[in-house]
Amino acid sequence: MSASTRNWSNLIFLVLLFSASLALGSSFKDPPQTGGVVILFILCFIWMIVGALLDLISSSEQPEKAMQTYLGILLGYGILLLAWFLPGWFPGLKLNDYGFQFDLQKSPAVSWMAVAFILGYYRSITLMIPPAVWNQIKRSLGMNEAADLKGNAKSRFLSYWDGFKSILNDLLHLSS
Amino acid sequence: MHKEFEMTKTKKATEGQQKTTALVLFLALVVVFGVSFYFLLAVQYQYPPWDKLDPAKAVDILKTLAPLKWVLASLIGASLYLLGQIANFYPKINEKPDPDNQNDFVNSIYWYISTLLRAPILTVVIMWLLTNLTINMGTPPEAASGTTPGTSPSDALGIAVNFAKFPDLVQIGIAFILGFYARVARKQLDIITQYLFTRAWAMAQMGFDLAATSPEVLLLKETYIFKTDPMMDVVWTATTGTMEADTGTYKAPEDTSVKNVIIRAQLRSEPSVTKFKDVKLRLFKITGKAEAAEKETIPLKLETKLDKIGDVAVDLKDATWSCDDKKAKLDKSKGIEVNFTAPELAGAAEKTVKVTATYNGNDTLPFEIKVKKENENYRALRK
Repeated sequence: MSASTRNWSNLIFLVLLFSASLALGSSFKDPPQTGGVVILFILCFIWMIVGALLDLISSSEQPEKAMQTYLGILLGYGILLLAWFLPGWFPGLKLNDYGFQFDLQKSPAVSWMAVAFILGYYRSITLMIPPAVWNQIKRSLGMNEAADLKGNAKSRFLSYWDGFKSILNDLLHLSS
Repeated sequence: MHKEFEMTKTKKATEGQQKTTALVLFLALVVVFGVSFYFLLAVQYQYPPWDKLDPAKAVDILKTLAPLKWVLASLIGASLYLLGQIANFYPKINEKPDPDNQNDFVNSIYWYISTLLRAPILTVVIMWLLTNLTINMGTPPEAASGTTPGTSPSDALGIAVNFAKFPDLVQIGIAFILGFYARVARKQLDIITQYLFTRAWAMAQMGFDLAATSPEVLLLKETYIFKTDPMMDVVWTATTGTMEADTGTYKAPEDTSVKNVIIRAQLRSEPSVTKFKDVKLRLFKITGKAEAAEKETIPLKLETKLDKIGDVAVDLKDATWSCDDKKAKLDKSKGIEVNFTAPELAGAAEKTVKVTATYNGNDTLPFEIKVKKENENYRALRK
């Protein structure tokens, strides 16, 4: 995004957008009902734009590329949708016997809008969410350099794999 | 003289312009403060024009526009902060700008408006998140929310904090503080985001590196505190020597066979983010001026931290010096301290000469001296 984002028209647009989204967002019923989900996500999108605009009009840092801004907003929106639909796809994530709960659909509408704002405002962080998730998956499989740093010559995953291979070998020898 | 007068006139005009801007901004902010204050009172205590509304309707509107109070309180805080800024810098407008920018008046209407606008938006977002937060420590959720018949939060054991149940005035107070300290509000939002997206936050901070001042070479037994730029919460490790993991304080080994060490800074919150630096380790090094004019003589010295190698004492008097330029001169070939005379430059404007020293099979890294053509004024000054 070019440095021209710090201009009066954006500032006025932000004031209008903020006023409208505040009035609409505050009147939203909690928790969002089936029919209101679409409206909620439209509001979330507006709040995401408010976040991005606020950052762009006040940031004195090196302006980012336009594509990066759009990508950050799109990705943030995707993450919001994923967080909404995930418990529907995996009902086990909802309140279970172990007390673990991941049912964001029960969260108040304003929390969704606040998170949407954050995702828009901190676009650089949003862009890092997929690599962070991937790193976390790699880490849980022991496939990262942190394992080497701790002095483990072999990762946890590889040592399990080696163990499985030797068991398999022994079983094959026994059966032959 | 005429030119000087013109410059003074321009400076005066700039000062006058700044003072006018400051006064206009001050008055505008007073209006924002006054209007916000009145509307906050009107909404909170049913002042006109609020009192003309049907009470049932007014309550309904209030319910839907609860954040309006936060916006107004935040605007009051932000306008007070900006008024304070103008009051602080107004008397200093005449003063000369200082290098630390301590007396610089921000002469930009855009900055004041964007600051004024940022405060209520951040306040609403933070307040939305806060008022949907319930902290229960040792308290059943039903008891904490007071939904169990016959119980109230105070009946329950443990601590229960429900921000949504805070009285209106407390919420308004928090919104005012968030508006007044807009930077604190931003910091607070940073903390919330960091909490929500810990790993992504850490990965976004990958831009850090070891401080540019980190040395390329360290002496054996030397202690150095490594730092990152910008300062990050990292775990320090080193392939040899001793390293304090939290502080980055590194002590080089005493073993002369070790020639280098890899210093590693690993982000504590995201261990996959690591920065490295390869540092050379030497028994001794050359110190002195790294720049000289042609034919200039400068002293060079050897420095070490090690007194002994095993049982043998380190005596750098036996160190042998050498130089890669035949035209450059060293007054001695052996010793702790030598005088280096820069060569005369034939055609080139500058040249780099490398000086090394060897002692008992150990050598220094080449010490580079940039030789430049001497400026005549400088030569006269030096004489």
